[in-house]
Amino acid sequence: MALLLLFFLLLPSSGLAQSSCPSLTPTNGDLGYRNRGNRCEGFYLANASESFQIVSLLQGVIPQNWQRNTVLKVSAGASISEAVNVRAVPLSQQPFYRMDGVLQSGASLDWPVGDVLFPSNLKPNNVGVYGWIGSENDKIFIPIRVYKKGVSPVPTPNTLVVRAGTDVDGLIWRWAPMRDGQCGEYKTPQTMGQRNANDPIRITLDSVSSPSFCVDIQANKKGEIRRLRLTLKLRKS
Amino acid sequence: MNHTVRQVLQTAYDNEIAAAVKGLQTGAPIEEIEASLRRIQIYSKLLAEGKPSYWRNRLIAAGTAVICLIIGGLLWSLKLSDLGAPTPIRLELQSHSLQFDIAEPFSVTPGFDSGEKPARQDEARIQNASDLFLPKGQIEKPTWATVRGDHVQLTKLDLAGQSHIELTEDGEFAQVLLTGTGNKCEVSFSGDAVLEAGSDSNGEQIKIPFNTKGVMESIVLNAEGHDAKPTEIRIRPARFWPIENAKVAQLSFWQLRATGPGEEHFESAIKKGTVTLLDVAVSENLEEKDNLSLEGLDLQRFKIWSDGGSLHVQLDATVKRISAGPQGYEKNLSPSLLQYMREQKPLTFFWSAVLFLWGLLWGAKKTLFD
Repeated sequence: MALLLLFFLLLPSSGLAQSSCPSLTPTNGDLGYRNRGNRCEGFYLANASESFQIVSLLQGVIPQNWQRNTVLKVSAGASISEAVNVRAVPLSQQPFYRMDGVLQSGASLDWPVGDVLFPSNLKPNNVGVYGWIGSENDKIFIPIRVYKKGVSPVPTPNTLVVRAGTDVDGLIWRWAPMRDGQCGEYKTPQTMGQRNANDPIRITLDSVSSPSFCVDIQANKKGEIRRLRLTLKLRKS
Repeated sequence: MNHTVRQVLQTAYDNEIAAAVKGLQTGAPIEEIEASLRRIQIYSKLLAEGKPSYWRNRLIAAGTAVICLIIGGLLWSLKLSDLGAPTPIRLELQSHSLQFDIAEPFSVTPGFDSGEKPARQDEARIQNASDLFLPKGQIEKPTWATVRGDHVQLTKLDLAGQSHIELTEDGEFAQVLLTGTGNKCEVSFSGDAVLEAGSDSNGEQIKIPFNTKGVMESIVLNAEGHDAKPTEIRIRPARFWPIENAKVAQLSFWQLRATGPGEEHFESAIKKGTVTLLDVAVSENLEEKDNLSLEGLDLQRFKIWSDGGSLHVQLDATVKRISAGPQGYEKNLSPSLLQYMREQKPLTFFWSAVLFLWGLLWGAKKTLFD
């Protein structure tokens, strides 16, 4: 009787874990996007976008030299008291790979590279990770640390990486302190020239002196009058 | 007398005649034959008594014809909407103004175009904002802002569910009126521009010149209305990007027209259009100022855009009731049951028509000629 009760108690919880993955269309095979215990991870089918997208916000860099049995640890800073959504994507637009997980306050997430990253030959220098808190419509992005299990992370500058799905010129970025949850007055823009489609655009956030701030990235679609823009709210951890 | 009793009597009558004839041929006693003849007379009388009357026959025939006519008339005059059945429609129209309710959260974030400097400055006027966040300058609770510059555009419309939106275009300005909780908008500008902003509550006001050198600056606002008035955004040049596939619960086409000093009344904002009843492939033209009412709207496809002179609406939907026409002469456009059967159930329509004509002709023949 007790076993039967246990079975029925476990049944809905395992179903919830499956359904908690975002609704993406997974590719066929074992590397398709699906629930992998503590996270959802894999490849999926999607259409390319030409707008700006955040692909990484890291404190430090992702460790190099992966082996099949390497387990990465993912964590946010100790100053974040809320659960942090964490996402990993390739720095290039394709392949369409994604890892989604949740970091409980002060906790870390084990990320075994042997499940998807190593078999698919995704290289560490082509993977970005970022975190966020807040609602889907009002995200505040948080820098994430990724380090090998058993190796203490070294504090290093926060680096934001974005990409545009189209060739751009007149690229600038600027930052503004946050004021009442909104972006305040922006500082002088820093020019970054032109970039090809899907080139990672790296922005080192050393110069930002505010703990909560907005980053505004703008560029013209090359050869057109259309202005592309990405405005992000960030909090240092 | 019912049919079975008549049959029993008729059989007995026929048998009795046969028996009498046989008796005569075989030399049966004359008493038997006389008795048989008496029974034949009785059967004959009973059969004559039980025969349906002439008028009764005519009444049945006439009744059949009348019932056929009533059914035909009902099929012709009853509309699908009278039975509560949805009517699929396709609507294409141009209007000065339109109003709709958003049933589910909806967001439009078009890009920002910064081409040649326009001959006439772009302009955006924001009024009755519940919160207004300026790109520069501090002011206590601003509720209004005006920006004039080289390029000024509405770059974000974030509508929460249960909000009401009204779009109007008068050739020079496009106007958006918003009410509802949780709506957010963004007006962006670049190049040489002047931003003025102020507060209705304390009268404070600022004026800031900008030279953004191509960088976009934005005014962000919470558009939930202020002091029971909707948040208003007026943009020149008058243009909207397409709003597509928003979950819209209500849709109407009205505008407020001044009819005299201090007098205004609502009238239709429709310029022209076409309603197609998809079930019966019938199109109805809408003329300027025609009223159009769409009750029980359930949208499958919805698109609004502007060409700088008119608002264009295209939609596929089902409606519980659709009526259109000049003020006071609106007619129900829902197809009749007969129209619906002819287009959608041709076999049923054919056999119903055959049955109707047979019933009508049979009834008429029996009534008039039998």
